[in-house]
Amino acid sequence: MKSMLAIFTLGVLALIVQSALLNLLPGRWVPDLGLLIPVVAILLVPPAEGLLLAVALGIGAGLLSNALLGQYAVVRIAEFVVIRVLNAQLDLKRTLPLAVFAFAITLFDAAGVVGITWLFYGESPLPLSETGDLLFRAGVNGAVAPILLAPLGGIAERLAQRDVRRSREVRLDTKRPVL
Amino acid sequence: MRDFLRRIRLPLAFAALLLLSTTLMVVDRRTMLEGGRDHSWLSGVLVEIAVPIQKLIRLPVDLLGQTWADYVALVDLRRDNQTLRERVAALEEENLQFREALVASGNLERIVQMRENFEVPLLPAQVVGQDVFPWFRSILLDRGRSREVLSGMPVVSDEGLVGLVTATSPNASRAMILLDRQSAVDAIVQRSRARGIVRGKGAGELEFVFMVRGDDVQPEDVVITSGVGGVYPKGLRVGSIEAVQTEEARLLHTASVRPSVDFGRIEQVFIMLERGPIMDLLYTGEGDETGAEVGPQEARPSP
Repeated sequence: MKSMLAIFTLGVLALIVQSALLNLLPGRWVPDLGLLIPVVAILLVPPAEGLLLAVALGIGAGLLSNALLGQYAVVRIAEFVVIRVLNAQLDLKRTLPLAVFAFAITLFDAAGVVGITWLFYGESPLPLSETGDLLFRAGVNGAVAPILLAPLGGIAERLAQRDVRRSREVRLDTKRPVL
Repeated sequence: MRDFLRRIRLPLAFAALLLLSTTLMVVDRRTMLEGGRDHSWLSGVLVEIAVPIQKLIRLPVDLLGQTWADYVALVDLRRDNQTLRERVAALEEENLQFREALVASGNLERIVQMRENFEVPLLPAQVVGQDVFPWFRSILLDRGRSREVLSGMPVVSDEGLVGLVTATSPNASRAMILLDRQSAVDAIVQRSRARGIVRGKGAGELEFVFMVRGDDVQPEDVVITSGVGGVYPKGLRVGSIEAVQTEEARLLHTASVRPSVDFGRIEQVFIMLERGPIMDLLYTGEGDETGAEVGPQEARPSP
């Protein structure tokens, strides 16, 4: 639970930083942290927590965007399914598979956003002229995703171990008399 | 029973979260269509947290820019000053001639009245962040309701029209820029007075949709706000025509418009602290709670 809260806080901070960076750098160079952090987190935490985290960060992204509230949460749920299925077949925690997967999931994310926007507004938010930028951004995401794996993995592991240690201590105190 | 519940925990959570997200989307869209009075306190809280952090991130860049402007760029200052003085003198003379011509035609009084109507207090604001997703075009400003900023107020820069405030919190606000696909501005071509709607395309350019009227719209024509629709005051520069796409068979023609504002480098904007009558009607009673949020659709042409 603690690891989930820590990753959620980190995810929200990442969204804020991403928004500030987009104001300073060309959009295509700024990694989509709002997408990468939930993707990497789904790989690291238990399934139910990963799902909750992905949806919470999706709603957070919607709050900082002009998109429909909940739109990114729905896309994150679809991504959760894709990640769980693929991770069962391939080990996505290795550098190269994760980089390739981050590239592909960026395109999947774009398709999801375009689909939902089309459904609600009757038109796509992504003009064809921006396809090149999308591919470039997917490349940037592919390069950044493996870098995020180590710190997020560290946080998740450390906090999960602390949770396990504490629950063991509690069990010792309450259930088994220690002689 | 406990085992069963544990086993279905994930599918149950999946279904519940999917339902929640879909409901949020539908409610948000409906609120927009109804004119929008979606008081999202959560959005306000998040924006209030975001603005100081984003200002902090901007700080080193601003300091660097300031140092450059104060020292390095001063090299050309004297020459620029001389050029500008000459230009001001020429413009003053031109202005005088225009005034004389207007007095002669008896139009000056009307124009003075128009200027008084147009002049509204402007509040400078800094752009601290952009929309986290590049296809939805909005900017985050560091001024909010504590400085009398309300949803529906136009945002301008020295280059022209920027957009419209769509959400406010006590110390921050979000503005939808012209490039957003939801943005639509009633506009006219300055030269020929051809009227149409300037729509955002999500990319770097705008689209001017107008009725067929011969050669009324030509490349390099300047497009300004028409003042119709009660959202933006008349005469704000929107952009200039790049290319006209005409098809004889169609009633509506389109032209691509290059925005007058460089949205990629926008840093400082001005919020017009008065909103149009339509916006006032739309937002009556709004502004007392945190994070009022809407999607302005009033000038959007029907498909």
